[in-house]
Amino acid sequence: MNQQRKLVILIIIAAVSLLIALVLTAVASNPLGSQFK
Amino acid sequence: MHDTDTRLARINLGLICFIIVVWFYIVVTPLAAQINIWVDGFAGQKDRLSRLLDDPKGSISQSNVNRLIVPGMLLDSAIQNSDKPDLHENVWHLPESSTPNQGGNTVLVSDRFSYNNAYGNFYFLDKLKPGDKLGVVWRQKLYHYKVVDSKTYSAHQNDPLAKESQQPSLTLYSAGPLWYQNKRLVVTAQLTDPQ
Repeated sequence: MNQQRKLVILIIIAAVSLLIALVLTAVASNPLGSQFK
Repeated sequence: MHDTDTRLARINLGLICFIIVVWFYIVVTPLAAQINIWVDGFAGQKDRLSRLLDDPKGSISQSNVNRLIVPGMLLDSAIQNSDKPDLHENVWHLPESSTPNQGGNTVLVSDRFSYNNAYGNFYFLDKLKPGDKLGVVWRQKLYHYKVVDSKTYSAHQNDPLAKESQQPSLTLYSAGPLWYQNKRLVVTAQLTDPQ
């Protein structure tokens, strides 16, 4: 696989991974707090 | 052409490292508490907290701070009395509930896990089994409890918090299982004897 094609695939994987990490951090940041506000 | 390939190869290597770091964060963060306990040793810490509860001199009850001590969860934490709970950092006494010195049902709430706080006070709440001992220091008096029940409820079901109890009891309330934010794990304990 040439390096350019590899770069495109890695950018997509990196973006999806970052998105998963951000969503998990945001969604699971305050599991109980809102219930007792 | 060769220079461009070399440069792209370096960028690709950097991206691979970045992806590994992100996935390390995603996978390892929920296990941080387990790893911490594995390194420090669960049994040793549990014994140390059990000795605090079993101390015949009751030196723990001389503490000016209200505290919850649960050897089975490796927990020794101050209890927060406030209208604005900080469940990440503290064990919070639900103001509508009773207190150990008044009898009735005392409700204590805290977080188990979030990516912002991987090792919450109640992380090991699921490890408690019927018969496990725990203690609450309340107004310089140590109250001993024994776990009688552990159940999972829907987050929208507030019944366990409103539960009236004839016997003096303690309810520990948190989210759980770890990955289900819409569920609540509720452990009930009954008073065995105040010191």
